[in-house]
Amino acid sequence: MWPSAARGDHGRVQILISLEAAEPPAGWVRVVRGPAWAAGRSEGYEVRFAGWLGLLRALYEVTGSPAAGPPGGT
Amino acid sequence: MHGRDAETRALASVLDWAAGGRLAVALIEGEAGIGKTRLLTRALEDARSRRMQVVAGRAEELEQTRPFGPIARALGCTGSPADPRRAGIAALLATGDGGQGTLTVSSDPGLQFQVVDALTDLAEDLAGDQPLVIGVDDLQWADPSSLLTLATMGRRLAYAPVALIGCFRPAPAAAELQRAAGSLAQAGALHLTLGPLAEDAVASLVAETVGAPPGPGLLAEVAGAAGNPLFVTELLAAMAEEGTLRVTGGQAEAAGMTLPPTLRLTILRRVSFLPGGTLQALQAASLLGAGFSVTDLSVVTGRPAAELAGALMEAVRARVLEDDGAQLRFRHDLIREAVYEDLPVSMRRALHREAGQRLATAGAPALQVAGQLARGAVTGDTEAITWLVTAARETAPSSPEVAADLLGQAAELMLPGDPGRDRLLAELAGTLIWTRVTDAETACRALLDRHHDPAADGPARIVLGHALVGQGRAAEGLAELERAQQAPGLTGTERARAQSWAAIARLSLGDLTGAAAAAGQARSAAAAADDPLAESMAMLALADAAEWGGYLSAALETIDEAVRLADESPARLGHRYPLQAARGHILLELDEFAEARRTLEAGRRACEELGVRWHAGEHHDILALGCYLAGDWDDALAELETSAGLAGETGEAYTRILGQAVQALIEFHRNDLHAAATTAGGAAADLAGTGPRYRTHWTTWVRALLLEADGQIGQALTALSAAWDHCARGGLALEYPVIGADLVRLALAAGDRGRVAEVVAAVDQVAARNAVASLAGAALRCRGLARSDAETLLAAVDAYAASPRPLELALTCEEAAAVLARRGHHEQARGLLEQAAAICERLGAARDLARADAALRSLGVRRRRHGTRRRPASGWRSLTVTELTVAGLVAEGLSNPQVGERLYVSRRTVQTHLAHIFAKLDISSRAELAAEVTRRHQTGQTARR
Repeated sequence: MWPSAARGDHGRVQILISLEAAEPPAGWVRVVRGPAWAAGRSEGYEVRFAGWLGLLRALYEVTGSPAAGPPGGT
Repeated sequence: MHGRDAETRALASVLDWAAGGRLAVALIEGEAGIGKTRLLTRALEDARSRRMQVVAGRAEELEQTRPFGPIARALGCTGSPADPRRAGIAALLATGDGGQGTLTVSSDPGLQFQVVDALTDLAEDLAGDQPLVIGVDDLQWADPSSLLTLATMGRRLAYAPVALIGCFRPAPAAAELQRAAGSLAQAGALHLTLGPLAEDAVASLVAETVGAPPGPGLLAEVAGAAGNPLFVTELLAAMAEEGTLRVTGGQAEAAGMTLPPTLRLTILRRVSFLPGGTLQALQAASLLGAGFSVTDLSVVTGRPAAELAGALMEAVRARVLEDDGAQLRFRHDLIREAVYEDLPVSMRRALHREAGQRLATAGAPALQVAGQLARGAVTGDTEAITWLVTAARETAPSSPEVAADLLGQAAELMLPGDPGRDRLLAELAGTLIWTRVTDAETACRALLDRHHDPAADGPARIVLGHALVGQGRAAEGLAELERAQQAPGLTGTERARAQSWAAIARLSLGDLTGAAAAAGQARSAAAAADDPLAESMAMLALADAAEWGGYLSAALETIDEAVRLADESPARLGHRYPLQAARGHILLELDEFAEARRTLEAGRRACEELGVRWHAGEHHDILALGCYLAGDWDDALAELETSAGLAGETGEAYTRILGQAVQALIEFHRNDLHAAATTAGGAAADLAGTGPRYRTHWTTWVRALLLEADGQIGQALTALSAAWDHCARGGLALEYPVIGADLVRLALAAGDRGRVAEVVAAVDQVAARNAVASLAGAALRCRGLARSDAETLLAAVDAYAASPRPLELALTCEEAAAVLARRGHHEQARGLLEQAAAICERLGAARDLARADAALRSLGVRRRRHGTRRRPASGWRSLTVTELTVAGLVAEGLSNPQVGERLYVSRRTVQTHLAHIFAKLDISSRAELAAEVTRRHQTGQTARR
């Protein structure tokens, strides 16, 4: 359960995760359909990541979790 | 501690044992996160509360190539300690070469032995003030030198109030760790294996962590952690961060379902909540190891320390890092591993490479730079190869195992066609000599059996020859050494070493003329190459060749010159070969027992000072020979036990056959024929496996005496004749006086007058060459026996009386008496037999005493029966003179090295005596011994009776 979902969201986030490597994972997370509250992270918004830490941070970012910090920051 | 009550109690009993004055060892094994560190920490806290001294350290995954890392840290021997003992060790470690001058990677690892001894002495010293507890965590990553130190402490501190507690994971199971664990197991180590926590223990851990008893949902969640306490606490921390852990109605529950993934992902999930800058710092720190300095992190990241400090404090607040006072450290190494392994391999490589380059620019030690570059290297990376080789050469004197590993890494990185690769492989094989001689042989053969660089041929064959001679396979070794000398491009030093080893090989084969010729060439080559070690080897071979040929004055002259040159060599490098052992042996042959003892003692001390352990055992074997010849048989046996222990540690056993033969002789003369046969059989079996070695004919001599004792005169004669013929073929005149008299007696019994005449003439010749009382005695004894001539035998008695060899005097008295009795001179015969019996009684030579008594009875004399000194097997009266002295000094509070200084014996021999004392008195600590000595002083019972 990700932090954003836990606090009652303002809409679903649909994302696509594409893996270029599996272990540790590397690739990108793209927002397919963004929530109303996240204007900056709407459809097509993409974050590249490397490693599980990177993936987690990317998920925080596209879901707008406070743990993400400012956009783009892993 | 949850669920670890039994283990906590077991460790408390380990501390009890150490506090009582004896070494106690505990090894705690278990998977990562299972609670080893907590258990260790708890035991150390317990020790502190008992006012025991506690020192603790831990090995680091990325520091496995740093010699003595964890043990030196634990004992405070890093940096600039104020305590001069610690400062001395720190200086040794810091200088790298121990001030021993230029050492190559194929030099013996003197610094390693020196530091091992110094750390063990330090621990013993500390324990002399107050019981000492040494705790070392994460031994699975300990460097080989640290493990060797712990194993040595396990052997040498047996009678000191010390507890050693080590923790390790079942994997990786390095061979060095297994060896150390095996050695500590022999010291009676308690082995604790930690399994998963039971369900009730998990529940109580959860309750303590979250402050409320867990409900069924939460227990189901943490059940996924499989009883691993670290996993449980990390999972709870991640849930708390996520807000999925709720306490309602006094019960903790999981709010919503989370699937516990692996421990690693649980850790990463928690770490992922940290700010981006902190994560980047942690990722860089994970390259440096579980513990790291902010300075090093600043160097490898290029970020100012002040900037990093802020980011790192976030990680400290989140309990991902800890500040241990000296450096920052990941709270658990699994956290570091999780962060490190999460970096993609290509990124990790690039980061390591960059870190290595930045550390090199900042002037970091070669080992640290090489470690980083190697982790970032790909095949053909010359920068990494160069740093690895540099680090290997710097490390070799303190840790040949690490040097071999680094050279192996360098060779792996070299392209197959790299012109330097084969020479590097030869250098690697040379390093393996000091770790496992058979590995060195295998490595050399692997190189030589394939198409290889001609420039590597000579160096590899020299190493192979050395390895083979070291294993007692002198003929094979000699063949390789001779081929090596034909190889192109040998350096002067390589040529000198090849010739020196060839001379030693020829000596082993009994080719004295060839040995002397090779040694002469080697000496010139060594002098030209300015190689004091090769010069010592060559001169020792020259001296041995002269001595074995029966030219004792020439031998002494040569060895004296060798000792003089070694004294003058830089850092006394020439004494790294056992010149004093050879000199001591020559002096024994010259009947100069007191000077021999002083020389052997000086040689033993030189071994300690220079860290030469490989040849240390030779001094003990030759000291034992001296004690045997002088009639101090208990002391001889103590020296032999010490020598056997050293041979077990190093694998070096050049003089062990002689040592075993001396032991068998003592057992024979004490009339314990079964023990003598077992010991002699063991020596013969060793010999069969390795080929000729130092004074190996002594084994045959004992075997012949045993056969004679069994009534098999013919077989005894055959065996001793074969030994004699072998000596005669090689000109090994040194053995003639040793076995001559017994061979004459056996040959006379068999009616072989030809053999008798041959022996008499040969022993005569040796005696004529050397003005030595015992040699004159041997010649007269052989002649007197051959002619059944009482006058000559009485002259032999006089000669032996002027020598320091009581057993030979007693035997000759008995033989003279027999001849006189046959001629009717009963009174004179009785006097001689009384003299023989008195000597045998003093020596404890029960077999010879029984024979002398029987002869006296046949002359109508019934001696008042004293018997040999039949000491009881246990109790105060069972102690030997030396053991009584050791007991008194220990009771005064002296440590083993201090007792050794007083008695002119090694600390190892003191330990042997102490082991005997403890076993005989059935006590287990120095404190108990001191109490017993004091009690006896007070009641006036200090003498044996």
